[in-house]
Amino acid sequence: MSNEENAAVRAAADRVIELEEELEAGGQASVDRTALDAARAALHKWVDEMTGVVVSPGLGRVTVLHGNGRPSTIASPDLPYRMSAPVRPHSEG
Amino acid sequence: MADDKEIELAASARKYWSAAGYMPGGVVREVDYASQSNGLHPTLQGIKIVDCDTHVTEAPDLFTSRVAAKFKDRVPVVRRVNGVDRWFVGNRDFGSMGGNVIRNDNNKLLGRLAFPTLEEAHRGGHEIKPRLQAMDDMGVHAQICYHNSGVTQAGSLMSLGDNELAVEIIKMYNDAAIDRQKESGERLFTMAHLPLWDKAEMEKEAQRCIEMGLKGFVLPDTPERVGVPSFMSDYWDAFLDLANDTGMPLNFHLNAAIDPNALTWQGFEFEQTLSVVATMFSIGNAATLGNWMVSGRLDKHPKLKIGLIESGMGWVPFAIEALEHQFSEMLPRMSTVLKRRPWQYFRDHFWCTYWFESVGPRLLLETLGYDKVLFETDFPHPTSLYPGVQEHILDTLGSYNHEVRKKVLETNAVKLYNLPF
Repeated sequence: MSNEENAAVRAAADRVIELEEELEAGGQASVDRTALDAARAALHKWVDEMTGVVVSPGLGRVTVLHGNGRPSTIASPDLPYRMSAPVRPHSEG
Repeated sequence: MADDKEIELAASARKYWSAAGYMPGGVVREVDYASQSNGLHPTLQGIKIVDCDTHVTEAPDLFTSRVAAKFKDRVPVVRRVNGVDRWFVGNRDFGSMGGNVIRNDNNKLLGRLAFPTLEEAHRGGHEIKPRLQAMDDMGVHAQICYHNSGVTQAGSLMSLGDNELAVEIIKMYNDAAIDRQKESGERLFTMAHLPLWDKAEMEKEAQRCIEMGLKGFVLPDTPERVGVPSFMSDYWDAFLDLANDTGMPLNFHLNAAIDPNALTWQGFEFEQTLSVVATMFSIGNAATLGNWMVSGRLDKHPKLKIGLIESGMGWVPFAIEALEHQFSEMLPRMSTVLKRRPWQYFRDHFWCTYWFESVGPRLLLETLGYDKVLFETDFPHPTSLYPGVQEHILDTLGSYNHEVRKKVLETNAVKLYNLPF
């Protein structure tokens, strides 16, 4: 990651934490390699365990369904597109 | 997975898709239509009521009747799936046809978003002639119309991976809008959609819509949610200049950036969830109001006209006061950029609408300004003001003089939307 990208990531993490502080909630940022690797591994495991997913590009939202039927919502401006296959003709529906 | 878990998962998934709202069920309210179809009340004579938020269901042939041959195999079409009419673009499910709870016999469905099939619903939802008849019966002269389905949603179209098709769908929607406007004798004014994700196409289509004679645009509050640059970006400069210079209003129809599942309690039935969510979508327009006020955009584009639609009026004075407080306590650093205060921004740029409310129109009109409030019914949506339009108008505006009633019911809308009467 370039210095510029690194600064942008840190600024984004700081902004999340700053805004959460209005609610007296302490967020834990992981932007350094070791902490980030651990966070990534936990997320991979979490995704591997999902039992359903609803992709809603119109809302910029992906809803992950877990085995117990509970939802987790991911608001993202790009994830729904990554998960959408290009449109195919009606005949291939 | 155990059977009970499968059932639980399926029930949970349905909640996100809101499918329950389109399934058979709900409660039918019998409407004494003869008593509700006498047109304009005699005390309102001389007023051409403009209903500033209604919905037109996109007719099944809206796209197929206009499409170029090369798009025929992917153009939006309606298919019936498990007894429910839904839009498809190519092989992709684009969701329901939208809310219409007025039955074809004029009775009203409660507790659901729509009838499962188009033919069960009032034809005025998607056909012009019965629409105009319903307006005459309700005593409404003109309507500002919005989409009903999600077939033109920017994020959904962006996900197709076919920009040419996506832009074409928006253009066909706008072509249908101007055809409807003309065929209705300038009584149905549909707000234009834009290909927000493609700057050049957006600006071109906006110009085309103005030249065709459409009367306003509808936009999302937070385009960054679907990957389009924020209104803070210079991406929007030329478009906002165009709206500023031509007097074309920008409409923010509720604020649906809220995730229903983040607000409501687990274990609710569909109707319980939707009651809370619908309320919060309305109040959510306070974020739209605030975003524009703190952005500095209104100082760059001092003639922008913004409609806060289907979101009511009762919360507006509170939101403006809250923003006044924030301007004083949180924004002193921005005082050189934000040249006016929230009350002034509101009076210079915003309009709001009311329908079911009583407290707002009775007590807050003077506070908000007689020029800043519009009337709407939300026809034919769930929770729309149907039946009882004239009765509700008299109940809420009955204590005002003719001049105020005419402003709220007609001339405020005529000025905001540059209507030809």
